[in-house]
Amino acid sequence: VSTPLQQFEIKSLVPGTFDFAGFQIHYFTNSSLFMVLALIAITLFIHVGTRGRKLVPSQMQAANEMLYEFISGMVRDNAGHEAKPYFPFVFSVFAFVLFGNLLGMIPYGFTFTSHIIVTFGLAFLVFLVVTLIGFAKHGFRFLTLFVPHGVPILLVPIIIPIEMISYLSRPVSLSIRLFANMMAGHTMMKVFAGFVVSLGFFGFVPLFVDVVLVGFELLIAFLQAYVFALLTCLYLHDSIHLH
Amino acid sequence: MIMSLKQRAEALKKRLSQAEHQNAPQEGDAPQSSLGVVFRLSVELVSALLVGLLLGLWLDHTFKTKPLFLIVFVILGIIAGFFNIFRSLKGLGLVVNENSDIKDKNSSNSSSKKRRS
Repeated sequence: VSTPLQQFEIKSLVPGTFDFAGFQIHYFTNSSLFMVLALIAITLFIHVGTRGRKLVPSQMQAANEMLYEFISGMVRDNAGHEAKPYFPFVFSVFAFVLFGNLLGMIPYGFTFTSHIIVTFGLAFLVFLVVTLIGFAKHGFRFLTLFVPHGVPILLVPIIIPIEMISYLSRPVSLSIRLFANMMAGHTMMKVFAGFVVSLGFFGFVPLFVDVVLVGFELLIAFLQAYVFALLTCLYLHDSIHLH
Repeated sequence: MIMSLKQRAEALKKRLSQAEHQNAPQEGDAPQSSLGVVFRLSVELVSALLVGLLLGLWLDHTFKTKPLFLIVFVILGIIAGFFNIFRSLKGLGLVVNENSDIKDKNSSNSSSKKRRS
């Protein structure tokens, strides 16, 4: 009998493994397949959308323009005008997370954003980029981020480790938020789908719930990509402006 | 005539930038249910605690001071977690303090009530 958690299983698609840092690593799994599919989908979406470049946009072009303006507005409002050079980074992160979430909504699909190692990898990339930008812009003055304004001198030795832990917890909370939302939603959907079979005739009740849940999951898929990109913008703002 | 048109355009630009500035979304502008907010806050708390725990374990492992750093950093992690919660609440505009505009809104409300009565 299949369980609600079976959908998260990693399957190797190419036989054989290789050793890396003491771990046995598959060459190509269903997770990597869906990451590649997400990249292909994004490339196709943007290529088809920007091919015409008409004054009166086609549907695809209008969708592209909406996405572009949505992200550029988000970067401008939350990270400031100085963050304009980092727009491609935020856009890529948003598009990858969004398409990963949406591809997972296709039946028989695999949601790679429901694995914490994937989301942690993304969040850690954001963390690294933001920290490097901070050091590149301000040098060692960036470290004053750990001492908030108006803190009494006596409290500074306690505040600094607290602020550092708070700063280090950013990638953790960013990754847990996305992963937990995706995993919880997909598990719930499969649990209700299991009820459809086991309840027999009255199975139409959980079936109706599942229909509602699919709509809800689409909302969550978009919302979590939005939150991920929004928090990236806020972290960018912190490292560009220091507070 | 042309000058006045230019001036009007300038004035409009100024008003537009002001309006844009006022409407600039804050962190909490994400369309979220209260369940989403609560989930976010719990994640903030747990992640800081997790970082504190792992830092403590790692420092103990490197310096061979078994429970010392673990205890210190778990406590610091809890404090940092509440810091995080406080910060995201502030971003959501749910914290009442003397500097926030919540008070201004309240005072304007009360004044308007007074006017009505």
